[in-house]
Amino acid sequence: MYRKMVGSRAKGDVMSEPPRMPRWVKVFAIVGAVVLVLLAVMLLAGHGPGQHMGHGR
Amino acid sequence: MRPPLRRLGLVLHVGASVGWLGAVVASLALGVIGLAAADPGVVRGVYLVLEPIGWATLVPFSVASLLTGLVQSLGTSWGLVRHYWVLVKLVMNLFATGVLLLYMQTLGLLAAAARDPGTTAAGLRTASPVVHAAAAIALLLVALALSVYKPRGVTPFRPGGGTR
Repeated sequence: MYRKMVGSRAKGDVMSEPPRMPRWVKVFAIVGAVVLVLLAVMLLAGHGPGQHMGHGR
Repeated sequence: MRPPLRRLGLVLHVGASVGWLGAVVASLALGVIGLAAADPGVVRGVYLVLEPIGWATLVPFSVASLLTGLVQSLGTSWGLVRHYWVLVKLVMNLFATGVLLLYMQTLGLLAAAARDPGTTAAGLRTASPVVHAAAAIALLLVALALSVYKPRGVTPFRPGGGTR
């Protein structure tokens, strides 16, 4: 009986409200966004193919 | 997917991903040698081989890891967008493969400069391959940890409703 109630309640919860995003996913999303912003800044600053060499001759 | 086929797919995915990590570690070692070597011939040789090594190992392993990962997720109950850890790995893999394909242009330019006898060893030396390889290793180790720990969390996108 208890098992049945718990099972039905859990199922009902899943059906009624969307699952919450876990904290680790939020951390990954923030780190990913920071990395993307840094990459955008570096690209705008001239970082890209051909920008790495010392051009020494 | 039937269990024998699923295991074969897993073997291929792990093999491709481990191969990718190993190829990046080899590139990191070459990058460090290019920065540290005193012999100009060794420095020139490093920047000459980084590009063919990239096309021969980095790119094939990264694409193989992506494709086998797609097959593995779509062919099993994990799904492609059902669990956050699978979805995060997919995004990381797409990002890493995209950056690698763009970075192959840089390795091509470095190889062209190394072929030019007028370029000095000092002019060739750059920390760029080391920085990119180190970042790739960090990303691949995080992906590896996600694969092993499989942290909990299901997305709102669950076709069929099953978890596993």
